[in-house]
Amino acid sequence: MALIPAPIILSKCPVKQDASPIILEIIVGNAQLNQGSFSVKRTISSPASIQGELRSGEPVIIGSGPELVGQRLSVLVTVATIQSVDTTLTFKLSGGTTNINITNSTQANAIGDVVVYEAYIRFTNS
Amino acid sequence: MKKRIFSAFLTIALYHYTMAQSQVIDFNLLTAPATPAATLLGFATSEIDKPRDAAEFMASVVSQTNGLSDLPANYAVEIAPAWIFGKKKISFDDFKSNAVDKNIWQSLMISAAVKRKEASESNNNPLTQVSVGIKVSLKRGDFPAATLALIDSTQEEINFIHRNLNAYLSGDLVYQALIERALDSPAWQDTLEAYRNRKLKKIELAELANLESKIKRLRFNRVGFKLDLTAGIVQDYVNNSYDQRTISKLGIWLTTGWEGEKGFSALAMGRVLKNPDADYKDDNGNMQVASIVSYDAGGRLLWAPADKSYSLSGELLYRQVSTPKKLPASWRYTLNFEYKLKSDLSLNFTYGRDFDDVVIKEGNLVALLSLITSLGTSKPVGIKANQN
Repeated sequence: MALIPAPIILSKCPVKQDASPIILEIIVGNAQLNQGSFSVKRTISSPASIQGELRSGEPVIIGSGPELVGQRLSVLVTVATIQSVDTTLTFKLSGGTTNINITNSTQANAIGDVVVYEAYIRFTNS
Repeated sequence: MKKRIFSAFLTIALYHYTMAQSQVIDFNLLTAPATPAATLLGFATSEIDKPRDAAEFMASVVSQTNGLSDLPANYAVEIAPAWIFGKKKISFDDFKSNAVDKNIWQSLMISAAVKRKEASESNNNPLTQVSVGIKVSLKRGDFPAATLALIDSTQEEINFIHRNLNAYLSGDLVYQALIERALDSPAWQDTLEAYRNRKLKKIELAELANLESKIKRLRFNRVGFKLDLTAGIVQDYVNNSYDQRTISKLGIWLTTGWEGEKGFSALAMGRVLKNPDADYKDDNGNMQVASIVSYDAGGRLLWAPADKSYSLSGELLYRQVSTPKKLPASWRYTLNFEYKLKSDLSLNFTYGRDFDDVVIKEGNLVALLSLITSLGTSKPVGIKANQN
């Protein structure tokens, strides 16, 4: 039984200046049980301006571009390997000037391990 | 009393042993083949290639086709497209669902097989046989209540670990500062990941062991209403010529049933099979070979309690055969008893009547009789049973 680290997703997301919503979605594949959450903070010690849980395949609006500029999105997804040692996370962020769509796969050592996925995105002016 | 039962059973068994002809009969006639294409061409299960991912599948095809330049000589393959090409998109909710669209995609099994026969004394012309088959569940049942409860409990453990992990990572200001640096400069990413990996190794949660123990108890068997469709077809190419092609075998199975949580299940099946080289007796009693089509319908009741070593089943099958000679419809019925001695060793006994009114008696009978004599005693069974 171990915690297996997956590669960390790091990116910047230039936003549009209109009020287009920024939409976050994760897809946890391989029919594995999981839990996901996100938070948006201005600084590392400030309280979250928005936070919540993430369910695989259910998009969440986290705010509009202008209100998110200068803030950082943190996403944590823990995937328990119940079917096989293979895990996959698809991370989607749309509504910015370019969409982010990243799929990462990580293999656990054994069934019962927990794979830890993290993503950190900074919203910037385009 | 026990001796009297044993003697009566032995008498009946010996009577039918002398009367019945030696024959080979598939007990489980109602079960559709898992890989219809390979089954119709006579491949053994061990000869079927079952790639687990896209890379394995491509490697297998390239190797069997001489680099995609030729048809393979003898090759059978079975693939589950959803789990080879689309598993990255299958969430646990999709897997748990019993919706028809999810069922069809996730349960779809495609099989294909190729067999080549060279010209010989018994076979005047070279022949290439190509078959394809599908198996799909339209309804696959739901997880039993106990499994759903264990899934909920496992999810709670994951949620607890997730909350702890979240607090642990977000509360580490050094780690958070490293993330900021890595966002500004990718050169910091390795340092960030090394720091994070060391942190994760230090985490010791009792809940991790609890989670593992629950995951090991998870079994994804399904109960309730089930409906499966299986079909396979074989096309012959005589002289390996595309122009001399004929459909030589065809099979379609529709299986439905209800499986209960307590081990009781009821099954019904309809099947159409076309076989070009079947034996039948003509009006003069002579054996002839002709293409026949058989239409079967049947039902099966099975009682196999999960916590017991034995199971009991009965099946009834109706058959109408279409041949050059008109044959009346016939029936087959059997009763089957199975007793598991070990996971890979069981005693089983089948008794009934076949389509041609011949009594069916199969299984390791001597072992079964030995078992019956020992039932109710505290002595070990102490027999050597043939493995069926």
